[in-house]
Amino acid sequence: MTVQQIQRKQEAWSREKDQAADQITPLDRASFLGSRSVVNCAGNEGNNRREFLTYIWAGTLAAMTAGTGLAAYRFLYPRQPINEFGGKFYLGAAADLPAIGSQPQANVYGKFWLANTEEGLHAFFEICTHPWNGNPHKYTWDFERDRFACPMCGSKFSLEGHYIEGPAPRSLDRFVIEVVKGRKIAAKTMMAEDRIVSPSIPSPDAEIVVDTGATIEGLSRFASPLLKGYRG
Amino acid sequence: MGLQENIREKGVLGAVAAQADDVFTRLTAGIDVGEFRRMMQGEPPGRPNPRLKPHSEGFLLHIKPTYYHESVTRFTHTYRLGLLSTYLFIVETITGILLMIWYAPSPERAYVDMILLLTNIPFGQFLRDMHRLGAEAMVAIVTLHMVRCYLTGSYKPPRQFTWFTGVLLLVMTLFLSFSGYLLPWDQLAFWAVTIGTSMAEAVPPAVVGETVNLLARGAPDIGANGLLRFYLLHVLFLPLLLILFFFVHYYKVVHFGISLPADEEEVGEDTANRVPADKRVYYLPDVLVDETSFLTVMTALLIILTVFFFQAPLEHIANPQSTPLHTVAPWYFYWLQGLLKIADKFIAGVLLPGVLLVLLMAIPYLDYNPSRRGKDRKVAIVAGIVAGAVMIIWSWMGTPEYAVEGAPSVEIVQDVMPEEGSGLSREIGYKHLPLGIWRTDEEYDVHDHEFLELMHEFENSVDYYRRTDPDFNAPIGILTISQAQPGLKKLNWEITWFDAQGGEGYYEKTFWLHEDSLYWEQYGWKHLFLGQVADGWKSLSGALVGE
Repeated sequence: MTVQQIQRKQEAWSREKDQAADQITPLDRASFLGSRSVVNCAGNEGNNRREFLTYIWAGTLAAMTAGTGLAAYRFLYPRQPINEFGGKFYLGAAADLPAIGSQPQANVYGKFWLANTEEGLHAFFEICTHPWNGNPHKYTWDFERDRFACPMCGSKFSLEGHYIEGPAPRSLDRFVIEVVKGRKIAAKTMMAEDRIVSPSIPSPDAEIVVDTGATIEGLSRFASPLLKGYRG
Repeated sequence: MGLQENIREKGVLGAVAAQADDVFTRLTAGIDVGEFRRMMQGEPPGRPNPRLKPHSEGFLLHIKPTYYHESVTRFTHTYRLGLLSTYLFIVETITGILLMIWYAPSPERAYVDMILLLTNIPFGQFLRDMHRLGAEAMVAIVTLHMVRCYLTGSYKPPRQFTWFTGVLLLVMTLFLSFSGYLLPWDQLAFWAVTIGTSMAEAVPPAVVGETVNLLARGAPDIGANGLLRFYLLHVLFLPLLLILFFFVHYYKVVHFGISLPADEEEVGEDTANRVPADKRVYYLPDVLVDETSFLTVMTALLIILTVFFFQAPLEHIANPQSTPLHTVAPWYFYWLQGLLKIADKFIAGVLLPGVLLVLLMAIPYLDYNPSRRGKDRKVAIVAGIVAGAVMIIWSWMGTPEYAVEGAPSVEIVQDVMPEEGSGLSREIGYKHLPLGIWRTDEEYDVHDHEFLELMHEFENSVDYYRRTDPDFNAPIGILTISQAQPGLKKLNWEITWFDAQGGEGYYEKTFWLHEDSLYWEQYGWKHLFLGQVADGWKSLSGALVGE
């Protein structure tokens, strides 16, 4: 095709386009589903119904998109792991718990000590409440004296988690224990006015769940019934 | 003009408005706010038409025609089926990518991931159901799109190649849907794909068939390698191939235009580039608004169907040792399964489908009839209807209705409590199954309407086989429901009968049903609607407060 031919074609095309623009009237619009109804307020400068409806449409679409985004956020958000630290630990039926007053059991993966005492069932976070310049450190169980003892700061805590002595500012921190009966949470560790109440166990077949995602801080050492003295 | 001059001339507000208008114009590739509002108000475009700019300057619209012939914008001409197919592909891509987040393609994890997705992930079941429903809908819509094009003769010159690529897209859609089948790693998946790939084995000579099968499965049997291969086919290879051919197809559609109604266009005529000025419907804004509203309605429909009326099935974990009773292919391959029942694997599984496919692709090149009008195409239309009818018959032959009847006792229990899927027993659910021994030859004064319905079904089924099978005389069905554990009921189905020689027959099958088994059907249609709305609202409000 020569340049002249191309030019002629282009001219013809633009002529055709101009004619087309001339001939367009509102009646030539085919609106939704092929109906030929026309809403056009010629000479109306402000909003008309058609424009308003379009904005309603667009707003609805935007709301739908936002809703989808919210759903996607919920879908993508990491699920709480089970039997991993940060999630819930399923310890089985209450009948299988260690006897009341027996030695506490360390749960390595859950990072807690499970202690069954006269005051109830406790799951103590394995880190000492003494901050030690921001370096968390683990306390241990002192078999000789039947109490928790921190090898670094020397703080001592009873089997019930009460502060005995040392530089720690408060009694041991603990995780919430849920007692599940018939697929419903029957009781869980609660904060009362001046003490922390362990859940009561309604029957031996109730299931024990330790939620390592929910922590309750120990009470101040001055509230401890075993407070001996402060040597910090 | 610099910012300062701008402000001096128009004031701060005026300058900001001008700047906003500029940004808007850049984003829309050439439509300023005033033009946009005029568009929305239904004003005709000026001269030269400023609404053509986004087509020539923007990327997103450069593939779209600037105007359509008025006749093809009528809904009843195309039913927007091609647009809907494309849209469903986009829906599948989005839901598919989201599902990949909670899924790992290995036999150890795949099924567990499915269970977690259904039970522990917000919107997990919704996305899976939507992905599955979208896939089935896509197969159906693509097929309907083809039927529409056949009936209007749209494949005739100059659009032969458009049809050819369309058939390729249909095949890819089928394979895309089928390759997704294996991923949940349940019985349904495992056996459907085992049957599917074993069909490839029938390709002659034997060594080729075996090699094809090995390449598909990655091992003599389907295992970790097979799952990975199907996964990659499903999420990467086939979608990319489909996208490639989609653009070939769509380029042709734009190039030759959508075929006009038969009365307005002669075969071989190029109407796409010669639309009379008074027949033009511009893409901006009319067709765009039309398409957007149509797809919004379709999205809403898809969501409603997914939430209230559809649940993607998930069977037991894949077990290579046991083929479930009544294993079936996906519904769009029923016809193939039907053929395989009556003919040799090579003829029915390879030769005939191959010939049919080639014929389908070659239709535009074989059909020399120079008219697209219905009254001139009687042979073609009758042939199309006959082909459709044959497909339906073959499909019916693919269902368990045809030629896979087992022993009466097996079929009776399969009817009320199938090995896979729900069946009436699981539909009525744990709480409607009273403990006790229930016999089909006795009447019970039980007030549980749903349980009576089950017993009625059981009796009818036993009676049907008593009447039709001479080797099944004086049958008695006994259902024993006992409490196996707290929250777990044991359902023991027993059937006794006498054969034609008077010999006694006995059949027993045991199932367990847990209180928490979530069979969607057991909630019933009435409770379902309100319950789902309440659940949906709860999860939505949960999402809002970030619980």
